[in-house]
Amino acid sequence: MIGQGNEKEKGRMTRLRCYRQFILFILSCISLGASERISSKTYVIVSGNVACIRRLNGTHQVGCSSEINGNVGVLHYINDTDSLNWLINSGPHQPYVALLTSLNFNRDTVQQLRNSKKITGIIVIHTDDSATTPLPDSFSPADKCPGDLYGLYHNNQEYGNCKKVTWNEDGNGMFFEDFEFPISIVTNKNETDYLINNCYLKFNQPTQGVPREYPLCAVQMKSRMAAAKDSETCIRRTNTPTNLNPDKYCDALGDKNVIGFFKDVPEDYKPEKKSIILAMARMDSYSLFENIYPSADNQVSGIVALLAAAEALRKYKDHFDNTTKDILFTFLNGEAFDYIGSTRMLYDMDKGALPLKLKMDHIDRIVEVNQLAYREGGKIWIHADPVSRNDPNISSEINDMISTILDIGKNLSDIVGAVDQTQPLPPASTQKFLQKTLVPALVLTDHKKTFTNKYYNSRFDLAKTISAMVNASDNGYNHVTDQASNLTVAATLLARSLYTLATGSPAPEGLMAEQQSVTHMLYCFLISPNCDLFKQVIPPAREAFDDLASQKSPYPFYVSVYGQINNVTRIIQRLLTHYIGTVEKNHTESCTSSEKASLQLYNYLWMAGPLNSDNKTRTVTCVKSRVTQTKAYSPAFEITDYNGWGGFQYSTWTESSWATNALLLRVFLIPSKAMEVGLLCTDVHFVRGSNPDFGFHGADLFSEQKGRHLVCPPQTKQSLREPSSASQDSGAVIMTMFQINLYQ
Amino acid sequence: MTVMEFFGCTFIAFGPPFALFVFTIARDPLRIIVLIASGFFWLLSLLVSSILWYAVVPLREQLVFGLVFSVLFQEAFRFLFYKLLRKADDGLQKVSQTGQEMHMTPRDITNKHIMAYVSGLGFGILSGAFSTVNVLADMVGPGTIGIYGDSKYFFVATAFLTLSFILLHTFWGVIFFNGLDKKQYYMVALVVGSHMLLSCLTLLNQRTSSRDSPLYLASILPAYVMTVIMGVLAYYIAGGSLANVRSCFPCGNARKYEID
Repeated sequence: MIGQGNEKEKGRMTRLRCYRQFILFILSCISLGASERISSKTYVIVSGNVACIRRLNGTHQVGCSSEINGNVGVLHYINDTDSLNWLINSGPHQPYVALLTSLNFNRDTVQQLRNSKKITGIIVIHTDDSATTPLPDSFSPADKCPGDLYGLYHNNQEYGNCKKVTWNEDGNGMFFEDFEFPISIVTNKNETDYLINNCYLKFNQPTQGVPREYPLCAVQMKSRMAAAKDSETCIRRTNTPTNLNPDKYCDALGDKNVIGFFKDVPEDYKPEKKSIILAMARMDSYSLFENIYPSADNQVSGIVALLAAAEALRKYKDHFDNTTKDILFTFLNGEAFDYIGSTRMLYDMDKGALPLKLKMDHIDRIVEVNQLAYREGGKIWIHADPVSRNDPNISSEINDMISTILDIGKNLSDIVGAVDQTQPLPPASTQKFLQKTLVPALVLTDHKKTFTNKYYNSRFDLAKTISAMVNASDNGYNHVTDQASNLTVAATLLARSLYTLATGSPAPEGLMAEQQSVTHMLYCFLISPNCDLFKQVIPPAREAFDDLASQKSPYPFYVSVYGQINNVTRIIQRLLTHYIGTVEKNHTESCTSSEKASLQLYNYLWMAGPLNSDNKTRTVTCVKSRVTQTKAYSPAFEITDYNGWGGFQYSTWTESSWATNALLLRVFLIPSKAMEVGLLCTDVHFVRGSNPDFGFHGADLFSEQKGRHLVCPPQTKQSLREPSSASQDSGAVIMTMFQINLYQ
Repeated sequence: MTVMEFFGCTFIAFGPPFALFVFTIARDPLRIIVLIASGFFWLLSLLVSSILWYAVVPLREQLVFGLVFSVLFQEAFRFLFYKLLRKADDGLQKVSQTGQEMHMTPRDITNKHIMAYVSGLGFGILSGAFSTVNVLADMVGPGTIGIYGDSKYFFVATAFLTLSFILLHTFWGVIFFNGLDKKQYYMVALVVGSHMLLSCLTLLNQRTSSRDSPLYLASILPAYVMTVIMGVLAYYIAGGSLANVRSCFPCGNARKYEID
């Protein structure tokens, strides 16, 4: 049996081989393809997308969030009023996702789209190319009166609520709205082209007003935010563990302030009353979209001017002794979110938690630098607080300060002017300090009345908007732009003013800010941090260098979540140390690589150092300075059982957290409902059709006795009947289930 | 909401096989065991063809290579299962005779076509499952195929093709086992040859440079034609006849009673 089988099998195998050769020959004519996963043929993932995220404060939630599994809508490109009206009035395939250009993404359009109740998401085009992303005349998502609720004039009848001056005229308040759908921007030009050409124009564009047929091109936007309602609720939810893997719903905003005392002092130094001048600037801003915080005017211009002034003053440090006042350079963080940094600093002052147990009595006067890039009439404007002028002492000191600065300004091509005395202070950290104690305070800005910055706290506050960028592909690092030379003059003004205010004598002629430093700082802060200046001040470790080299875009000027590393804070601390500190050659044992918050008199910091003559290696330096960092974290999150969430005492801002895969944008086709339903009906009929409930005696098909007439037996053997009855029941169940599904 | 597409395609592909399972196999434990065993043998054939595909690295991108050998391995394992089943005849008979309360009719063993049908169905169900499950899994998302220019009938075509292959495997089982029993080796060759031909026709479902969209009909029509032909052939092999077909439908007029 087996032997015979082998022969027969051999025969079969040879025949098979013949067949196989024949078929392979035919097939060689057919071209071959690779096999792919179906999802790669269905979805196009847009990777250059940045979402609008959700933040919360004590009473509200603001920002955007999508549904858990994302929002799916048919893409519609709106570049003029016709397409907008078509969507609102005639579009039948709702829900839509609106693709807007930078010119028509404004409050009006968004409100119209919201009211139509036809959209489930908005995508905005925001590329580097100015042809696809033209600059609108103005765009500011901040409100018209920023910081008023937490400011000095909160309940003031005369100056509160922007009665005298509306600071941010162009503010549309979109940052503080709660959107029920996601909004994203797409930053890659290839992807925006794909969305417009391969998705909208190819499948969705109506032909002369007539809507297209299915299949249509749709977009899924996923940006699911975990937090909801307000900060108090989500902090409580985060702190209430319900399982062994607790979820974090939101995180408080906060970071560190950078402060640096200028004067060299002996070890037993204790500051006297009214012996310190506070020179302040803020370090952060916000915008509608995550990680897009360029902040060129507000506030890189102020930071650069203050740092350059500090560098200029360094040469004359020996003029400062125990007869002169000290200067405390202060860079506050979180100011854009209801003054987190300044509030915390004042709170720490009360608790004696600052270095030298600094208190408000030690502060003699305040000079704050605000936005400096769009100088109105080419001048920098001095603002003072009218409320503190009620005190005649303070009033005369303010007048002295103003005249000092005006005099200095006359020597510097008349770069300074003073605003009307009855005008209140613009939004500035000074307001919080004056809330505590009235001292003579000035704020220097580029606007005389309302903001000259049309893009306050928005994604358009860029280097090229403030003319700090050259179109050269590389080596704008050393190129002195208009903005750089103007800011240098501003820094010189600032340095000389601080000198005179601190020492009481006129500033020497040689006291001038370095134009190179200003140029380099503008480049490093606004264009690319991978620059020589930053390479000098970072820690000497290899990782720090590699980290810097891998940065493709400027550091975002955003306070971010407390506990997360904020590169802006770190680099400003190092720059300040570099500019006002002294290189320590001998006693380097106390030198550290990481910036810490310390209460010591002097701090020692390792830096990578300047390039050697071989242009490859650097000399590691240890710098001694009185620069340190302090907490910029709202006391509301530290006080147990805090119940001031609805009040205006401490900032209550938090940022929602989201899952790692919660941000997604992808493009695909969707079939018509008719086709889907048709498909479902077909299959239901298949199931039903295989279900013989018409008395179909399937078992008879294979009866071996061919001659018999087995026709309509009413009572045949059970084994033949049972399957049919069982099938009738199951079939009925299946039918009802799918009829329910069908009519949902 | 292509969840609807998902359910639609699932039940197009698996509706009739599911019905076949429910009516002819579910009530009989022995048949279920043989069904699952034959499914397992199909999985083994898939394993062997995967190993071959993985081992031959340069030809990984060429679908034809993998496809041809997969068909051959499937038929080889069908043959192995046939051998196993025939050897196990004695044991099955003993198992089926124990316990009066079970619905075990010895007819399952004496009528060789029943086990051939069950094994063919097992092969078919597993083969259908593996060819559609990953397509179905990707169907559940919000989108349907087409943005790269593929045909929008992809899912429907897949479902119909899967159904035809499941039924074909069932019929091939009957014909194959019968051919080996009666030593009519041209039957066996017919099964292998038609399997190979149809599988290779499905290669036309890929997009080529000369065509914009694939010719689904070029593979679906022959597949269904072949299904009908094989079905009729299997029916006759298993002992059916035209008279039996007529006797299945309830008569409109006079009822005739049968006396056995």
